[in-house]
Amino acid sequence: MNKKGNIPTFMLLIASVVLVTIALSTFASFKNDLKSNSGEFFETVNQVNFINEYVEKVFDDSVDKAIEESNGDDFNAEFRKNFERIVDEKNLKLKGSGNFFGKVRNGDYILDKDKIIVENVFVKSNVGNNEIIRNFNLERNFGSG
Amino acid sequence: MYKKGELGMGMVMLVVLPIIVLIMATFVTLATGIAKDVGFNDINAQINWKKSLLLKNIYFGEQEVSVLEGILMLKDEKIKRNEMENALKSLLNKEDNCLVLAVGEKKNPYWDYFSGPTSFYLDLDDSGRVNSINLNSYPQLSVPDEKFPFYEKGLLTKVSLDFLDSEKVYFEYYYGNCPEVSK
Repeated sequence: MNKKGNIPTFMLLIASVVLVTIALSTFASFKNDLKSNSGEFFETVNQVNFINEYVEKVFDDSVDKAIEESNGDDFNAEFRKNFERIVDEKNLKLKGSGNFFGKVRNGDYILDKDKIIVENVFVKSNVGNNEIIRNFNLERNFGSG
Repeated sequence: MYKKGELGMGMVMLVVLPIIVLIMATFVTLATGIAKDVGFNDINAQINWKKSLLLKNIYFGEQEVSVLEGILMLKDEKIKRNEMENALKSLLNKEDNCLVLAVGEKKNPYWDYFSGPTSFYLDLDDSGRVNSINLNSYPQLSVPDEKFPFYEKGLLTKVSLDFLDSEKVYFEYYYGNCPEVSK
């Protein structure tokens, strides 16, 4: 028999054993932390989504209430005063609620005849090594309902 | 030529190939066992946050606040537990006849239900009566899931919030139609 002809075949056998062993040991030593990592990631996403909705709700509710309470001659001045007070009352000091409350407190928003816009609002969520920052504008048209 | 060599190689291959197939089969079997299960069943990816229970409005007399604000008021002892419970009862209706709200400073407050004065478990039955279950009074129920499988069915919405002046607070809640109990 030509013994040299067997060498590649045996090499194939040895290579397959080595590859299988390496693959199995890699699987066995894999740190199964995906669940906690994905858990943190979803916690971050949930948090930023919730804070986003919370800020929008505070904005909407405060606009509604401020309109209700502003029935004097100078609507704009009265609205501003009421809106800023109501937003401040609704501030739950939630970390991640970004710059909305500060912007309103400082009067950093546009109030036209029938429109209120708070520009470049951001909310943020931070869990573990994950951070999400979301930017958006808040706008409400209350001219003709 | 090398006919003998080819014959020898062919004979060796007859032995070696089944061994390789066996090794591969062992690999697949072992790999399936070793690869650990990554569970995502506790993640509810499609949440409508606009309809979040925590953002629903409730009333304490004339005062209108969100459920989230109510919980913080309860934690700060500005209102009593029964006031919060009564306010939450007003959210129940035919479509949304179950409400579970577990709040705590540890992860998974649903499972710390016993120790949670800020946790609620309410359902509206067919006769229009609201049942409030305080598990402190039901020691035979080890977990709320024994009544309705909220956790088992992955119905709980989870969110954690950080406040400037307190620890991180974890919320787990369900607000909607009561799930069927599988017996």
